[in-house]
Amino acid sequence: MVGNKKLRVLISDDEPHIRMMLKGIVNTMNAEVIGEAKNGEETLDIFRHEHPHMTLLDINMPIKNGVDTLKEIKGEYPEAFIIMMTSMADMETVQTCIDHGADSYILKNTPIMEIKQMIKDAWDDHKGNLRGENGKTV
Amino acid sequence: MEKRYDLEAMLRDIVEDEKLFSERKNVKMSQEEIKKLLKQRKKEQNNRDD
Repeated sequence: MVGNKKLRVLISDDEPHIRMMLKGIVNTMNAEVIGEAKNGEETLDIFRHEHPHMTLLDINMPIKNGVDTLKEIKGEYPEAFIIMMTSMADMETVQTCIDHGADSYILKNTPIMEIKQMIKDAWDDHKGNLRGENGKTV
Repeated sequence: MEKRYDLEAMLRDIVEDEKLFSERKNVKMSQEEIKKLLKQRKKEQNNRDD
């Protein structure tokens, strides 16, 4: 929840079954999926129009990959909250994403319950930081 | 004055950089290692902000 509003989430993945799985997770979190994107360009379009509270972003996508999409979103909206959801576990990619402001990085082979917990923990941590900065409840 | 370059040292640096790059490319991280890295980065960022 954000204040008394539902958490608005954008899901970005080129694989329909992964989007469906993530949608299922989001729906159990008192949150709503405000958009689904199949590639980085679509992600940017939806992000610019909808300003989601949270974006779950895949890396290996056609047209524009998740790393470039992350860089563009963070360049335009440094406060954007972005969780990378990917199978790419090489140190280079992980460090690049974290260096460019990814708020969390979840491997897709993680059990579903743990993915849900990690999303929740990352969001709680983010809310805590916002409270610290603004001195108000989010 | 003519500028001199230490080509051997430059080459050594390039090879080291590429070695490091390819090592980072090839090292696979576990979810636990990624969590630790994220925590460490957040801590560093908080220290910078303070």
